[in-house]
This record gives sequence, structure tokens and C-alpha cells, in this order.
Amino acid sequence: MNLLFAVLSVLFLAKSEPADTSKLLKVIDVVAPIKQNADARVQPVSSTTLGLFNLEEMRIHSVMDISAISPNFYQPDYGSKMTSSIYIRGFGSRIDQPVLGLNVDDLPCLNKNNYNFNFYDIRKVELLRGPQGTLYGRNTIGGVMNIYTLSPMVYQGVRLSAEYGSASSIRAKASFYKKVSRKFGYSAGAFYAHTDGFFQNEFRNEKCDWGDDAGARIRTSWHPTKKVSVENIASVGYTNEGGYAYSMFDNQTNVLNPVSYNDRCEYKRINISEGIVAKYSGDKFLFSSVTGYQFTNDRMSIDNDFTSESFFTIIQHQKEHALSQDFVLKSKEGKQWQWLAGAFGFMKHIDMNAPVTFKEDGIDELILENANSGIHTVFPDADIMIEENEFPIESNFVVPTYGSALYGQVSRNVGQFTFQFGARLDYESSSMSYNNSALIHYRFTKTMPNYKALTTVFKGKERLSFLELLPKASLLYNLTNGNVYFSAAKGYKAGGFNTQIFSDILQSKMMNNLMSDLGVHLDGVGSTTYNTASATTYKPEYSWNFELGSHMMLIDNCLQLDWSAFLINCNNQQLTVFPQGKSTGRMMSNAGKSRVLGGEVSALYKYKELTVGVNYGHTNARFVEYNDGNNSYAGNFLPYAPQNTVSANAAYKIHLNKKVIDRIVGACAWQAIGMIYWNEDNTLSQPIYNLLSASLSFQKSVFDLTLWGKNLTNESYNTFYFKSIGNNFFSKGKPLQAGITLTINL
Amino acid sequence: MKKMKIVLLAALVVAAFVSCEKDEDQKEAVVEVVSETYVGSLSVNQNDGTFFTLDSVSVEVNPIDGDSTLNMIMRGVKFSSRMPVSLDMTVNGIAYTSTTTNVSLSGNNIVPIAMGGEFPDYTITNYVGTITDGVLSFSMVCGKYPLTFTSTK
Repeated sequence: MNLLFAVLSVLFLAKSEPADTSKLLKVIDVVAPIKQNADARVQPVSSTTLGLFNLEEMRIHSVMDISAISPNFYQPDYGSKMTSSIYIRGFGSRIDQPVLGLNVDDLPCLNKNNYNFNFYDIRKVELLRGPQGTLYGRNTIGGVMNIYTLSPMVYQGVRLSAEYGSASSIRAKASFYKKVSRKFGYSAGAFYAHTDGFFQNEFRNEKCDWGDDAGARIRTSWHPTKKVSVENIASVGYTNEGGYAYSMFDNQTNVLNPVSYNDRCEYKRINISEGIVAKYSGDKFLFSSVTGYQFTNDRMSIDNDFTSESFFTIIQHQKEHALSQDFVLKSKEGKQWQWLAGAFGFMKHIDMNAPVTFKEDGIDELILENANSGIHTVFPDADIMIEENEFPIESNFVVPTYGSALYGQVSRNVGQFTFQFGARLDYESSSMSYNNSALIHYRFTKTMPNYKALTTVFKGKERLSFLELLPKASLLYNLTNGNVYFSAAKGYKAGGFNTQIFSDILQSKMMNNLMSDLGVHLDGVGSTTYNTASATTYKPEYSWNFELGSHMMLIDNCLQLDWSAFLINCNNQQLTVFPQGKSTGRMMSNAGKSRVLGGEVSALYKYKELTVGVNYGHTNARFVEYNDGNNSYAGNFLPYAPQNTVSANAAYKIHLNKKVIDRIVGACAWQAIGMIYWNEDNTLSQPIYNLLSASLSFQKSVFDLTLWGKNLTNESYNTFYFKSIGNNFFSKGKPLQAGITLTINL
Repeated sequence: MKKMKIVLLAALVVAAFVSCEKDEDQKEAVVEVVSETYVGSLSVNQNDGTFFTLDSVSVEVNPIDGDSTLNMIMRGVKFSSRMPVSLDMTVNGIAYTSTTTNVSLSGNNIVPIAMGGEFPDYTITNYVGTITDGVLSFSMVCGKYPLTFTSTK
């Protein structure tokens, strides 16, 4: 840190000319996506676009920070970069396949564990809401987010920033962008972030949500001719964090207890991404090729019961290699007929081991208590005993997945109308080889003087494959100051494997084996509340999205107004299910049918130095059919997704004499999110919560010093709920935060 | 004369062999004991004038090679309606003798194997049974419970 401040001090003393940032940033914000129009607002789709200036002024550091800023978009802080799920338009996914596709520099992110990463030098974020499967394929049932990093061909200079805030939070970044010639440029950047954490684990007497992040990115751009460009973007990210600030909720007394668990929780991740984007701009068409390789090595270690007792822990360590290739041929914009054709392929290979370790209390209460309760009715003085104080259930999985797709889209302008039709044929195949085992030594005190080894093995292989046709159609009517559109699109979320239920299955099989070895048959021992064979896989989810919307420019182009209303019918909705009783696993289940009615409004007003933005999203998302075998939830609200998202922000610039300070920029923002139901029977919920934030920036030349605060009213709210071995847990949102940021753009 | 003696001796030898073959043909084969699973009804005297009956009880019979004993494994048995668990119980060392029509079984003071070890509480006494025409039936006293078992064909 001392070195960083020394560097910054030198830079303070350096004489630099102020840059005309407003013009520069407008240029920077214009990105030509390979599949979309440069301006998403001329397309029949609901969208939110944030440029470099917006992202930095609004202090958006991750995908999570876009929650509510894009209507009906919500990524809550679930206490870990791995588990933070995304909800959009009433749908979401707690585990496995996400509802939102994420592309960084046109490279699809194939592992949702990497969705939560630190933003730095992001040129543009574009969030398209509603199914985007026709162009973007799998897992874009709720939308797609395209993120573009800064290129040395559009920005040149040095960018530095350092920040200090609550909980000893530090964030530092340094990057430089060099355009050597019209044909070649390169850039390099790195960041580091740290926090001591906000939540105390009372049992361990330490902060649990500490964290360290670091990353670097190198980009080279080569434009050998005016028609050809090749860009190479390589990045690496590192995360080492605590997290998991989960508090047990007593639903008898409605008391939320402090965070208090005995085993240390942490998550580590290293991810490497390498992308090559090549483009050829012909006279009548654009050809793009995006080649990507991603490597993810992450390890989650958690106290899975989140109590002060020693029930069980889980370590999930996975290595993933992913390759993808996308070819896109697109006509140039502005023609009467416009077309796009593409071919996509990917393959990824996951090697995962996830041992669940049963500890002393877990062995006693989760395994022996059930078994001995039956035994004691006949032999009150005899017990089944397990010799080990703790033992692991070893779980190893190898999951190769590959997919390919052909897709196309045609648009035709007729007068003021634009008709558009597209379709995608998508094939995906996946298999899972699993090998789960446990070794214990047990004895029955009445008959067995010595412990006896008992090995339980559950191994096998499952296969899944899907062939999907993903069509879409739209009609857009162009007005002089905007457009009105109607669209219909099919969404698709891939099926998969329930790796998180295997510990439960093996525990059940182990009890069956033990009882079988003893020659005892107890009702209920070793039984599950689900079908073991079918629980290991889940099916794809499908939806149809019907949408009416508009993009308008009003009041002399000062007011940008977008709105949409939509109906989504979803079949086979994937929901996370906790098996009944003191189970240790969770699984994805296809929930039957659900329906979402909703609307979104975004308004952005700019007048001179004042900018005001308002975004509102509402969903009424309900089960149409869902019966978990015990109860019917038809008519109930879908859990976890907020019914309302509100975001309002205002910023005003005051220009001063330039002797001391060039400008002062004041900004404030208000977000309201809720209500969120936490369970299928809608008995637990989070009412609408409000977050107020503000910042005050002092700008001089290339320097910008910002004082900021978040959650200024110190609102107490919950972001996450789950059950473990029958206990209810909540994760609270972060309290009041404040800090100071120094930025230097040379 | 010597030739006559040889012919007579040969005739006697042939007669003797013929006589032996005739004895073996006349002797009928005894019932062979093989490993078999019998399914039937178990009736347990509750010692209070009532009987607890359990249907579809499986009993495996496994003869021991080179010995005239067999092991018997009773699967999922209960001795009372109040018993919340069912047990697999192994009774070793049951003596058997085979005749041409059936197999007779007997045993006394046999400690059964259940729940991973010897179970003296259920010591078997007065075990008597038969296997006749593929039907196993036996009676015994298991601990304090007299019981009978008869399989269906």
C-alpha cells in the first residue's frame, strides 16, 4: 500500500492536461456487437446499456451492482462469489444452470461460478432482457448480458484508482492503453481488492466475510487492413474469500440468531480466459469469429450445517476446461433486408470431487439417532455404534459436455415496419460419471464385540442429450422519435445433473447397507423422500416470452423512455428443492408450470448538467402447476425472485473556477427491492427494502476524489434463505458503508 | 475236469455280478438336500393363548458339504406384532437325515446368529422339521416363543 500511495503522490505532482472526457467517453461507449445492432434500442428487445462513464459514476463494480438498475434484474449477495444467483423477470436458479447468459468481449462465460467478478475498465455493459436463445443459445432464458472491456484502439492513456472504505475495504487498479499505430495497440491492467468483512462469526470470534480479489488483463489489437481486425484478450482472476454469513432463524420465536458456526468457510477461485476475436468487414457483410478457452479451478469449503455443532462439512473442488467457437456472418446495417447466420460449438470438461465429511454430531444425530430409535424399541439397552469420530463420503464426478448449434435471423423493412424472424437448432449432450463411497466401522453392542468394516459404493454413469429448436419472431413499427414492437421468443435452459444430492443418496444407501448387514429391517431407515434414480438428473426448462414494448426519445431528445409489458409461460421450471427431514443435500427439480406477468419502465432525463434516471420492474410470477408430492403450490408466488425492483438516481455537475477544483459532481441513488418469497408455500418473505447511496466527487484536471456511502440508512434486510438439516437460515445484506476513492486518468 | 472247474468258477463270478446289479437296482434313491429358498407362513405362539402369524416369510436352507447339517436363514422375521423391526436370523448346525421320501431335521440348544452376532436370547430348542415334496415345515422354540413354519409349494 505504501508503494501505491507513493506512486499516486508522484502522479499528483505531475503536470497534466485535462482531457475532454465527455466526448472521449461517448466514442468509447459505442461498441459494435457481432450479433446485435450497435444501439440496442432500435431492436425489438428490452435492454439496459451502461457505458464506462455510467459504470464508474454509479460505482458499479460487478454484475451484482446492476441489480434494479436494470428493471427486474437482481443478483443478490448470497455470501459467496460462487453461489450468487441471478434472477430476471421472476425467474432464477439457485444452483447449476443460470437464467442469464454472460458474454465478455463476445466470449460466452460457460461456468456460472465465474459470473461474479470484479469490473474494471469495462467499456460497456448491455443487458438484453427476455429469452435470447435464438442468437445466444443455452441458458439465456431470462436474457443475456454483453460486457465489453476497454480497447487500446479507442482509449489511450493510464488509468489509476485507489479506494478505502468500511471494513478496511481496499480497491486498487492500474492500467495503461497504448495505440502504437493505426494497425496495432495493446493494453494491460490489474486490480486488487480486499475487505476485512462486515459480519462476525460469534462462535469463531472472527469476521467471516473477509475477501481478497486480484486480476489482470492483457489485450492486443491488430488491424492489418481496414477490413480485418484481430483481438486477443487474455485475463486471469483470483479470489480467496470467506463469506457465508448465514444466521439461523428460529421460526417459533421469529428470532434471527447471530452468525455462529464452528467450521471455517472459504471459497477460492482461479479463472483464466483467453479469447481471440477476428473480424472481416466486407462490402456487404461482416464476418466474425470468436474463439475462447476458459479454465476454472475453484474450491469451496463450508460448514454445511452452519451451526456451532459438528454435523458435517463439504469441500467442493472442481476443475473445468471449456472451449468455444462461434462463427457469425451478418449483413451490414441499414439495408432493407438484413440477415445473420451463425454456427456455434462448445465443449467443456468438469472434474469435480466433493467429499462430505460427517462429524461427531452429524454421525450421532443424522445417522445413529434414526437407526437406534428403531432398535431401542426392541433392545433398549443396545446401540449401533460407529467407531469413527468423523468420516468422509467421497464424491467424484466427471462431467463432459459438448454442444453445437446453427442459427439464423432475417429482418425485412417494409415502410415503417420491420419484420424479424429467427431460429436456432441447438444440440447438447452431457454425461456424468460418478463414484461415491464411504467406509465406516460399526458394531451392535448386544451382539458384536468388535467393530466391523462397512463399505458403501454408489457409482455409475448418466447421460443426457437435448435437441432444441429455438425460434423467435417480432414486428417493430418505427416512429419519428422511437419505435413500438411486439415479439415472441422461446427460451431454453439446459438440463443437468444433481451433484449436490449424492451425499444424501449415499448416506441413505449406507444406512440401508448397515441395516442389511445387521439383518435388521426398520421402516424409514435409509429411505428418501425422493426417487433416488430420477433425482440424479433434471430436465431442460422451456419458456415462451410474449412482449409488447417501446423505445422513445421525448422532450427534444432529453428524455429517453423505454417500457415493456410481457407474459412468460414456463414449462418444466427448474427449482431447487430441499428434501424433507434432516437431509444433507439439495437438488434441482422440474416444477411443472409457471406463469409471469410483468412490466418494465426506464426513463433517463438529461438536461445540461443534470442527469436523472428511473427504472422500475414488476413481476407477478406464480406457479400454475407444482406439486412436490406432499403439497400443491399452484397459485403461489415463485420464490427468491423480487416482485418489484426500483432504482432512481440523479447526478448534477457544478463547474467551478479552475484554480482549485474544476468540477463537483453530486450523485445520489435509491433502490427498492421486494417483496421476495423464500419458500414455495410463501410463508417466509422479505418485504420491500430500501437502499440509499450517495457520492460527492471533486474533479481537478486528471484527478477525481470521491466520497461515497452505501446503504446510508443502514437498512436491515435479508438477501438469501435456505434450509440445512431442517434448520432455516438467512443471509443479511451489508450494512452502512462509506469510503473515499481517488481516480487518475492520464 | 480242470476245464469244467474254470467254467463253473466263471459262471459263479458272472452270477455274483448279476446278483449285485439286481440289489442296486432294487435300492431307491434318498431325497437330496440342496440349497433352496422356501416361502411360507410363520406362526408364533404368544404364550397368552394367541398366535402371531406372518406370511411370505423366506427361509433359505443351505446344506454344509461333507456334513449332515445345514444352515437355515430366516429373512425378515418378527415374533410379535409389537416388534417394530424385523430380523434376519441364521440357525446353524441343524442335523438332517434323508430317506427316500423326505428329509428329517432336528436340533436343540442352538444359539442363532442375528444382528451381527450370537443371540442367546433366542436360543433354539426342540427344533423338529421335514422337507417333503418340496415343502419345508418345522417347529421350534425360539427363546420363549414356540413357533411353526410351513412353506407353500
